[in-house]
Amino acid sequence: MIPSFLAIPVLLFAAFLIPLAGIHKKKLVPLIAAAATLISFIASLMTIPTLLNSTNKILTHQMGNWQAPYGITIAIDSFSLMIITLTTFIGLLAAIFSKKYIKHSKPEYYSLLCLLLAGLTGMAHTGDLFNLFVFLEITSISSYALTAFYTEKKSCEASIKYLIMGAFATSLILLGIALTYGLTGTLNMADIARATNNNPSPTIPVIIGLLLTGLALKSAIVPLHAWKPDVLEATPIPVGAIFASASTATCLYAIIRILYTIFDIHLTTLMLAAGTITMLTGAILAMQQDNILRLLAYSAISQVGYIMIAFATDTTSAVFHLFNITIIEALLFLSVGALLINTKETGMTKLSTMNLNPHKIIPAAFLIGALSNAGIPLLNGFSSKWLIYITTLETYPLITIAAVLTSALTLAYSIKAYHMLFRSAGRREGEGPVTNPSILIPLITLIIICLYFGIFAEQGELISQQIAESLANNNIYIQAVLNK
Amino acid sequence: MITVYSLTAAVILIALGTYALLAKDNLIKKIIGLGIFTDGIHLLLISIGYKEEGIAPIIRDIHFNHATAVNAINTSALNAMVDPLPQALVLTSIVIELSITALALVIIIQIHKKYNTINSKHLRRLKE
Repeated sequence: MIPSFLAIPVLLFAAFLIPLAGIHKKKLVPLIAAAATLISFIASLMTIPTLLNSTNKILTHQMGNWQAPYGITIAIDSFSLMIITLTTFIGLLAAIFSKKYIKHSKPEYYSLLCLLLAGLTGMAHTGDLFNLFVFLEITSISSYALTAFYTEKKSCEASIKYLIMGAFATSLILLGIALTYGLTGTLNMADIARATNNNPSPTIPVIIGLLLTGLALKSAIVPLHAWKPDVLEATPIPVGAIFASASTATCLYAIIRILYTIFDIHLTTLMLAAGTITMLTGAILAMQQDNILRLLAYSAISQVGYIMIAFATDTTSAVFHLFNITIIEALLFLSVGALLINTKETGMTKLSTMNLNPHKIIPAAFLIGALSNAGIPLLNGFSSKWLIYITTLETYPLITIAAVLTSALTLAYSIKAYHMLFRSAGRREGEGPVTNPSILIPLITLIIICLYFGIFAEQGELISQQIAESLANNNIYIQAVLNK
Repeated sequence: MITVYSLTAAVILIALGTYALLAKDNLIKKIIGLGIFTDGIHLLLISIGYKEEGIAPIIRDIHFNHATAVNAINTSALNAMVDPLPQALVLTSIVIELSITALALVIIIQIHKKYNTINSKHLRRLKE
C-alpha cells in the first residue's frame, strides 16, 4: 500500500464530516480541515523514502487485487509524488490561512476545499484514464461551487462562465477517452501505452487533440485562458491560491502524463508555439490590469507559458520551474489575501488610498513573490528561469529573447503593483496590523522555501533531474504497472 | 447495422450539443446543449461495447478467483458477451453530468436573482 494514497479517503471523509460538525460545533470545522490536510501532507512526505527505496522508483497498487489491465491501478512515480506533495502542502497552507480569512468558519467552504484537494491528489495518483476523468470532474465541480461561494454578481457570473467552458472541456476529454477505449479496448494508462506503441492509427492524433484541448482549457493555456482571471477575481483568495498553483500544476501534470507516458510523443513545435504565445499574452494583459487579482491571474497564465517552453526543450528545467511557480503563485495570492483580509476592494487605484496598514511581513512576502516571479537572482524563480534561458538559447534563441522580455514585463507590473499596494503616499495610520499566526505561518513557510531553492538551486536541480529521467522513459512505467 | 445507426446518432447529438452550447445565448439552453453533447458521448461509448445478439456478461459456472477468472471462461462465451465496461463508464458519467447540471441550475437561479436575466449576452459586467 502506498502511504500517500491515504490522502484521498482522508480528504473525502473530511469533506463529509465537516458539514456534520458544522451543525453543532462550528469551531471544529477549520480544525478538521487543517487536520485532514496535515495528515495527507504527512502521508505524502512519508511516501518519499518508500519511493526512493523501491527498485524502479515507481510504486503501484492494484485496487482489490485485480490484475493490472482489468482492475483500477494506482501508480505513482517521482513526478506524481512531487505534484501530490505540492498539492497537499498548498492545501494545508490554504486551510490554515482560511481559518482567519473566512469569517464565521463556514462549513460548506471547508467541505468543498477538502473535496477539491481530494480530486487533485486523486488525479496525480491514478494510473487509469477514466479515473483521471472522474477525479478531474470532482476537482471541477468543487471549483465551480467555490467560485460561486460569495454568491455576488461577479462570482455567479464567473462561476457559470467557468462551468460552461469547463464542462465542455471535460466532455471533450470524455470523448477522447471513449475513442481511446474504442481503439485499444483498455483504459489502463500503461496498457494504452503498450497498445498504441508503433500503432499508426489515424484515431490517435484525434484522441491526443481532444484530451489536450480539454486539459489545456483546465490549465488556462492561451487561447483557452478566458475563464481564469474572472474566476480568480471572484473566489475567496485562499482558494484562488490553490487554483493558480496546485490546480494548474496538476492539470499540466495530466498533460505531461498523457503525452509522455501514454502516447510517448513530445509535440515540440506545438508546445513551443503555445508556450510562447501564452507567456507573452499573459504578461501583456497583466500590464493593463488595475485589479490586483486579475493581474496575478494573468501573471500565473504567463508563467504556465514558461513551463510549456521548458517541456519542449529540457524536462529538468520544466519540472523545476513547475515546482517553483507553484510555490510563488501561492505566496503571491496568500500575501494579497493577507492584505485584503478586511476589505472586498481589489482595484489597485482605490486600494492605494485606503489605510490597510498590514503587518510588515506581508509586503515582504509580496515583494519576494513578485521578484521571484520576475526571475531576480537568489530567489527560486531565477534558479529555474536561468535553466530555461540556457537550454533554449542553444536551440531557439528567439524564444530566449521572448522569455527575457516577458521577465522584464513581469518585473515592471510586479513593481507597479507593489508600489500601489504598499508604498503609496496617501496612506494614513489605521488600526493595528493583522498579526494572526494563521495568516503569518503560511507566508513565512513559503518565503523560506522561495529563499531556500534560490540559494541552494543545485538541490532543486538535482531532484528535478531525477524526475526528468523517470519521465524520459515510459517503458519502466509500463513494466512496473503491468508486471506486478 | 445497429452500431452504424447509433454511431451516426451519436455524432449528430454531439454536433447539435456543441452548436447549442456555442451559439445559444440563453443559459438554460446552453445547459441543455451540454446535456445533449454529453449524451451523444454516452451513446458513442455504449455503441463501442455493443455486440449483435450479445449475451449479458455474467460469469456463473466457474469457481471464482479473480487472478485466473479471465482465463477460466471459455472463449466462445466470452466472445458472445457484450462489453460491460462502457456501461459502467456511462453510469459514472451520467452521475457526474447530473451533478454538473444541478449545480449549473443553482447558479443560474442565483444569476436570475441578481441580474433579472438569464441571457448570457447581458452578463457583461466583467468585460470592462
